[in-house]
Amino acid sequence: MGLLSIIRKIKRKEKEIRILMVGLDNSGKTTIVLRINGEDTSVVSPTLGFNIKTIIYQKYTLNIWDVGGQKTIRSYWRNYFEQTDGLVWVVDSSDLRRLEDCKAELDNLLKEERLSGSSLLILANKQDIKGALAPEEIAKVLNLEAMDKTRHWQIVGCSAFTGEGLLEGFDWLVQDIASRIYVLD
Amino acid sequence: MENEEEVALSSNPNSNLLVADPSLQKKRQSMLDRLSNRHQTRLDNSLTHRSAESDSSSSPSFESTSTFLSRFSNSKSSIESQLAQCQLCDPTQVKSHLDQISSSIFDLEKLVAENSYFLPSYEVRSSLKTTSDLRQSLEFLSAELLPKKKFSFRNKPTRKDPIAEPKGEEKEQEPEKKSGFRVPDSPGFRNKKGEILVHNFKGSEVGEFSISDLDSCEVRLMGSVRALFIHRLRNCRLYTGPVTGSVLVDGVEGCVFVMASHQIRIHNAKMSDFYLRVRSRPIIEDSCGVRFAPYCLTYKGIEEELREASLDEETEKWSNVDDFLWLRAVQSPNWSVLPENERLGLVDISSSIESQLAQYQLYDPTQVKSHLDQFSSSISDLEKLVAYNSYFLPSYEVRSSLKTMSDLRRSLKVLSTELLPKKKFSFRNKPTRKDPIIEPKEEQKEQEPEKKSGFQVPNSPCFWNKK
Repeated sequence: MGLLSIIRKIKRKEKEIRILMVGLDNSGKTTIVLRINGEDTSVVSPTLGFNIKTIIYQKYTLNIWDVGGQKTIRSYWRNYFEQTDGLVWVVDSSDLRRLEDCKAELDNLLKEERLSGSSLLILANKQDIKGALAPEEIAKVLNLEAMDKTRHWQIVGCSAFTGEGLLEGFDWLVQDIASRIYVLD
Repeated sequence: MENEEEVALSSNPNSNLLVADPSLQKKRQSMLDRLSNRHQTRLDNSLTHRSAESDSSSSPSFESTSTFLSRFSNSKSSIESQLAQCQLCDPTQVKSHLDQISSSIFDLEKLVAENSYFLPSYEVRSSLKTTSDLRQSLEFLSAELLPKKKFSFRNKPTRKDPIAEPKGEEKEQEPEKKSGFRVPDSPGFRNKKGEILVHNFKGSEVGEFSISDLDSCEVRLMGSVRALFIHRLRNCRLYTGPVTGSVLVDGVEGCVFVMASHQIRIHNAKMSDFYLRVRSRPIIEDSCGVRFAPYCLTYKGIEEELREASLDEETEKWSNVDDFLWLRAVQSPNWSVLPENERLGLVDISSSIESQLAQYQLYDPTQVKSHLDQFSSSISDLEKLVAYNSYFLPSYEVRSSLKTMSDLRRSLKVLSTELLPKKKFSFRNKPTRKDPIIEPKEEQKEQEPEKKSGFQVPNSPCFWNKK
């Protein structure tokens, strides 16, 4: 028995799901991860590099990779694409000026072949800030309807500040991935 | 390489002797030819090899910095000339031409990547910079030459709507569809030059605030706000109370910022000073000549606002700056701590309107007019504030604030008659007659943009209609 098959077997047993969080800088990726993990979010420095968090959710183990979104380190995102089951794209719904940048980066990301099989959750973050665009408006700006038909995707409004919407989003993501990967259970 | 060998041969002590003999000289010449031939074929080979198997990991690297640099500069200049040509070529072929350039830039990037393991880090950085510059100029060019596809949703909604919705409603929605989705402007200050812009968030429910395209302005923001976006400022001074979320600064030059925030990100800043209180590490990216110092702002009620925003304690994070373009242990050359003797003292912006009023008597007489106008607009801003909040204020408060404002207006009038010389013998007295006609027009204008963009926040706290 090869090492790979052993790993696969272990992975199947533990029901591991690998989730990659990406998005422009200042969109709130790290705060979201801290919030769903129940940690303090009052002091969050811009991510230089990446953070990994392992969270047990229902019967699944989520490995969440939170990768820094500053422009200079976006080119390193591709180092994390391998084996990704779920992709979380975080949008700062209050940053109206950079929505075009956000669309361009997302379009780029979705061209990536290694991510073609992963489910896509778009979190329209910062809904608590007055003046933020609603998820439906974000969906229009990002032109999500025009996405490849084979992609499983969902957009959810949320606030890492209040925690609203996060559970709903991750619940969809986990169910969607589980129904693809662990279809036999 | 050819030259090097020639030099090497001639510097050989024996070579002088050899040159004397004609037959040997002949031999030597043929050897040189052979060498140069071999060099040429090797070069060709490696080139064809590269283009043929550009994907294979075994593509060549020359392990010599000078070879790399000459190759690099050759490709660079060829791409540059292609870019220049592109502007002249037939518009129908522009697309393919641009694609071709793009792929040669990609090749160049690959070349850098393949050779990066032996190149000195300075060379790597500078070549990466060159390639990114090339990419950028390509982008500019394509934006210029290729017509942009306008973003629209024509297909989906029209296909779905007839089935889902009755026809009457569909007609109502048509105008919206035509205009497409427009991202509304957020509240803020935009496109100003040489003004003092004051805004107090206190009492209003402002989430995010944008400050963009200002030149030689002073901005004073009091009260706390959730998020602040700063874009393209030149020679400005900006003072802010607490920002409870994040501040994003992009493209500033020659500015001074005094800010308190939970998070601060600074992009493309040049020669600017930042006086910060921040709960996490500030970061800079693509910036140079930026200096940092501790927060130094005061106005009436700032302590309480800072405490509510959990920004009352000095965290010393202002000196812990991460430079994303300098990921190493030694100090980044792009930022420094502002020397203490060059720092600003405590800045007091508790410019209650009364104190502004007092100041104006000291101003340069030629600028008095514009200052007074600005002051007048701050009063109307204040009036707006009262109007917006009157629905929940106790009637006594409303009355007293209205009284205060009419007092302010009166003192402004007194001041302006005092400071501005009355124009005698002028035919320009018409403005007084025009005023009542102009004003309603301006009000209409004010409302128009709101109607068009369906998502505009109704009471966006901007300064409209300055006079």
